[in-house]
Amino acid sequence: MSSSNVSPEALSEERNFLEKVYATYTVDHSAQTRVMRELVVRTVSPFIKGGRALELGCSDGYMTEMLASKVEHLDVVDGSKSFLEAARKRGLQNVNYIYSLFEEFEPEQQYDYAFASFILEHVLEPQTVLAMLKRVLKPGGVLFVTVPNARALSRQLAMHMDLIPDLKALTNNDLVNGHRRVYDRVYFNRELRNAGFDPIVETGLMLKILADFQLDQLIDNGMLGPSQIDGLYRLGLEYPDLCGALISICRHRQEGQ
Amino acid sequence: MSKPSAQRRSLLESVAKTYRVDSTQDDWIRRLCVRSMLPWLRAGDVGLEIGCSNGLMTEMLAQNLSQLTVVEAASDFFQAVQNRKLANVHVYHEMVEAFHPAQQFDCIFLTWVLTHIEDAQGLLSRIRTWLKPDGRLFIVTPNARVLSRQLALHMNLIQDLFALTENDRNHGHVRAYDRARLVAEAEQAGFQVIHQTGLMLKPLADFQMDELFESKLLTADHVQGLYRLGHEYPDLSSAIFLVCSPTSHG
Repeated sequence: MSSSNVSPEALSEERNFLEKVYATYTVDHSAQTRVMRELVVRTVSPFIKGGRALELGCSDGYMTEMLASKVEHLDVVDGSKSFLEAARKRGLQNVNYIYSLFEEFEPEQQYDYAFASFILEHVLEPQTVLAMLKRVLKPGGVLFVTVPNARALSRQLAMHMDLIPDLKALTNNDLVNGHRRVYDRVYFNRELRNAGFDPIVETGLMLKILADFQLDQLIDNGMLGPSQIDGLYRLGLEYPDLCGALISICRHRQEGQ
Repeated sequence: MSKPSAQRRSLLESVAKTYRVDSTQDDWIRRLCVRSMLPWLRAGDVGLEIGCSNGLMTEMLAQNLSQLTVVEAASDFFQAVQNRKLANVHVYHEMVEAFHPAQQFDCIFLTWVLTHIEDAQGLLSRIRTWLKPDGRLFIVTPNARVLSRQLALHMNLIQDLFALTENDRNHGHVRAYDRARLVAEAEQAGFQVIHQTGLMLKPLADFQMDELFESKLLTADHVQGLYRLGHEYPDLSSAIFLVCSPTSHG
């Protein structure tokens, strides 16, 4: 029985789409993308101890490498062959690379942890992917989900500059990055709750003061060094609503709860 | 006065010499400050500006008032505003503590001054008597909770949002306000706060903002955006902006 709500035609189109879009993705060149991935790992680390883990989407493998060092075994699933090749080049010993759409992924064993970082804003139907995650996690397994935040301070600034009509509208940057939707905290938490996940931690990653291209320059020219990034991360814990990304650490609801 | 006047005056003189009035973002925020005041000014209003800095605001305000009196203690600032040769402006070179105006005013501008004054209640109470019954006092001070300062707190550069930094002391600040404290200060002195907001959300420290403007990474469009965003998040803005009227005696 397939639990997917997405038609086979749509999935076939999606396969072609992923190869096309992500053949030219340039994630490794962006300083702020690198920083955000480091902050995801910083936030999730206290919740991980060995075990079998699943990473949805590996991009260039920057985060894969950090996560692999914290677990016994890591399966990586990606619908883009070019991403899998890029990540594989890192020569990580405890990582297995699987070419599959998230919607069609059927592992042989369940996992202690699953990481879905910057995934839900890309996929055709988030509930389908979350249903898969629910199936593949062991009872008591932990899911780590990160998405960009519609209410990031930089985005609110863009709205006041008339660069976007409203916070939920997709920007050019969103479209270039293959985003299909943008979450605020309420919508994000509801999405997870509707999929049967209950939160352990809901917070934000790094108060985002300016747009990606500006942050890239400021990080590269040293105005935003490690202490500023650390400060913006801590400040983001105080103002999750203004952060660049939202993170939820959750478990799926057990029967009878 | 809790400090001898001569000592206070010499502090003001030295502060004036090092004040970063030529900074891009100081310039922006003063322009935004006047923009926030304009809707409150009425044709023919007579105003008093307490402390004029380099006179940028003086010149902009004077264009929207019939007469503007300025009281300024620092010689450099006094000279700067005199050099602007503004026809409807009269400048007194005097400590505000020693100033005794002969008339009452429709509006009084107290911008980036109150954090320098030892006896804030004393000054505000005197200002109240200089204001016509339907007059308005505009108070603007730096905001202790500005986003850049909250970042400094998280970076361990300051111990507490209300603690005075070395930069504060160099600028002659004797205390820091958030909105609640500034509103309480005004109310205690016999004012009703009829409007309160923030001027320009400030994400980074002054020197960084200046660099971003100079490198064109921040533009005039960003300033407008940060100004509007400051209305949405007054708590994170660079400055607190209050419009006050005298509380009528029952």
